[in-house]
Amino acid sequence: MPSLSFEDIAITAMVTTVGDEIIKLEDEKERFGFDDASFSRLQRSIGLDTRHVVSDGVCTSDLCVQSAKQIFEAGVVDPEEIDALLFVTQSPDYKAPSTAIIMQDRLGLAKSCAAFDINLGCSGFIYGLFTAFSYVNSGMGKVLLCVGDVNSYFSGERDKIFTPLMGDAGSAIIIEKRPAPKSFFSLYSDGGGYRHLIIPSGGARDPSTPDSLLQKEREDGSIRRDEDLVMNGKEVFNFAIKTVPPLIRELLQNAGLSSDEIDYFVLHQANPYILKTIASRLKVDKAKVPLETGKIYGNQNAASIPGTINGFLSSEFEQKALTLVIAGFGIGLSWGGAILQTNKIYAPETSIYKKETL
Amino acid sequence: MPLRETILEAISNVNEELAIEGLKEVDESTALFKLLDSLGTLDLILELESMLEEQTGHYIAVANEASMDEKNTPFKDIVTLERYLQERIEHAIT
Repeated sequence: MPSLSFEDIAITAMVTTVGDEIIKLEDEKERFGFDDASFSRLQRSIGLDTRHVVSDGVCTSDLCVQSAKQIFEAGVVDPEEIDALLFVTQSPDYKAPSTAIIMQDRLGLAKSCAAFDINLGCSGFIYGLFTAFSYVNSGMGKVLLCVGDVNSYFSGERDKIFTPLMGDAGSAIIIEKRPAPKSFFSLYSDGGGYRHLIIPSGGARDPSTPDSLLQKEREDGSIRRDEDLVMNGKEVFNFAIKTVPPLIRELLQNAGLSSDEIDYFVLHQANPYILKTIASRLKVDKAKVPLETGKIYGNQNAASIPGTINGFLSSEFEQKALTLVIAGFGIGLSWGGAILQTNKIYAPETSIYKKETL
Repeated sequence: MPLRETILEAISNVNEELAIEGLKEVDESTALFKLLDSLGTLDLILELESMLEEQTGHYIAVANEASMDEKNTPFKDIVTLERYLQERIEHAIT
């Protein structure tokens, strides 16, 4: 991967909105068929406790629209100044058109604003950010990046492997021209592993049928539809441990920085053990690697990096200049990372979705 | 405690909750990795880390990039796991 870099482009605002329904894992014991032993095992090994999901009918775009409106209402940027809206999600409002175009109208953005969707999951924030930086670099003034997923829509009703991990969140981020140190990106893909995280049916390759919508019991005891997301946990674990440490080493080398010069390593919040293992392989101070997001909010897919910043580091991001390593990894298989500096950005604490903003 | 005993005790502790039939009597022919799902493997990793830290006084990171790789996993059977852990312990202590 060539070293990709930008100068004088920065994030100036970041807001995350999460689903208004708080589910305690303990209350889901019966739904997933967990006995006391397997329940305590899940809590111990993956650190699950609660997750935030949306009520019926709320879409990812609704969460992102609330986040973006909060930025506009705070006066950080005027909607008319946005030259592009990028929406990174796997849960669009419709198969077509792009949800970003509908959001352009809902947010009162100018018709001269470019708007389109990007279909990515856990690596999506990095790819969206790289695209936004590229657009600003090519002359656009301000770009609104929206990322997130309502995972509830493709989580098996009683899939005890996948569903208890997942939360719903939507973030909005402003990227603009601003004096800033050079930022560095690295992006990777490996389609050879596409089956390890996949929604097998419902697309053109295997279209939706009445059968693909049936809840079916699987070999591992989980119950899900063919149109729900299925994960090969062993392969995904392996992929993360194998790819993320070299990615971060490459970024540090490209930037000419040591890990001591990094304030935070904000990584996709897959699960705490994966994050601890990555930190340990990099010999990074674990205090610099936040890992509590999954425990409180659930895995937020593309929104998990901004979700971690708004959820746990809000005041530091608002008060200080910080040098960050960020990295996302997951479905695709796809992974990427960046080193960048933020300087006292608008980053309030995570908001809970309010229905009246629709 | 000899390493082999530590491994057998860790498997037994983890299986108290998992109750996997094939893990009740473990010998050198037991295909550990095939019997454990991803969470079970993670559980065993955490149990081994905890027991080894208690015994050696050092944190020994048990997971590696092949932990859950079917072809190269050190969790294939207890002989492979014992050899792998011995190397990890020596690496951590020296």
